Amino acid sequence: MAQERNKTDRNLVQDFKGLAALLIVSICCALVFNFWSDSGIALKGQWDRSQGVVSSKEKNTVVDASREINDLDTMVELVNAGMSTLVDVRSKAQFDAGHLPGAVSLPIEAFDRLIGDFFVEYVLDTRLVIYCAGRECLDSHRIAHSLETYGFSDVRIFSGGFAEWMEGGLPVEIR
Amino acid sequence: MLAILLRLFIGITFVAASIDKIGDPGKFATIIYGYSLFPGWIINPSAIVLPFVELFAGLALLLGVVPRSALMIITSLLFVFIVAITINLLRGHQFDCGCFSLSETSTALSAFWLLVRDLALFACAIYLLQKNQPHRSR
Repeated sequence: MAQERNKTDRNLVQDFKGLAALLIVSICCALVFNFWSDSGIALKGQWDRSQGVVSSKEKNTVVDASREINDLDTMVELVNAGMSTLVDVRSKAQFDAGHLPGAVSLPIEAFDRLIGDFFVEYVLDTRLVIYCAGRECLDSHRIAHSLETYGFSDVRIFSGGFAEWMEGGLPVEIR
Repeated sequence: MLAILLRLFIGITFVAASIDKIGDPGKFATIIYGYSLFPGWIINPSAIVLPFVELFAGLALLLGVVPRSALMIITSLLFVFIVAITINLLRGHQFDCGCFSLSETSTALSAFWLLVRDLALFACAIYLLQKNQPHRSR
């Protein structure tokens, strides 16, 4: 009986040693891989919506917090001043269902097809304010990054996106 | 025979599930965030480490190296997944970022099937743990 119990205890110890070994190997490999991989992410992401668009902070991230307009009042002032071109990067269907007043549609999935026309329409120093669905959507940052690569010099992002504009009870255009 | 098949099935499922997550930890982190159950500081470390835990536990099970330890990890992971999915199904929470790049984010229906799959895997893992009890294997 006592021998049986000792054997069981020994097996249990072996199980926990194996478990610890698997966990240690996993953690070490994960950290090393994440450090070297191009798709690696920071150990601490930006998951606080009040700070702007949330992101895992990937190594090759397109997120640039300095571009973000986090305050709805500032955004309303910008729209009312009429000096900026608002760019909606959501799908065409979402744009047609409702968008910020005066916004133009540049859906991210059709970016490559539409960027030529966009170039013809807007000069490179046009002040662009990009938005997508909301603070959990990185599409506006992706498009902002692409537009800067193409030479546009004044690109900003409304991080609250269409969701926050709607929550503010502000007017929208429907096409 | 059944035990071997189940071991292969669970092992392959875990290895296969880990590959995509290892390749795109940023997307996996966003999915974890989408559950709205975890504090921000734990999201990135989980997205980095969990896929490798799945990979090595799956491989250990497939190769028969410390299989009981691998099963203990697998059942624990499945338990956490099941609890998280169940909580979100019960409170009707669906993550939808409204963005093109994550357009395949889960719907309530896919969450339900994910829960069914995880419950089936959990039952198989518990069965294997029972089957692999030290006093029975000798």
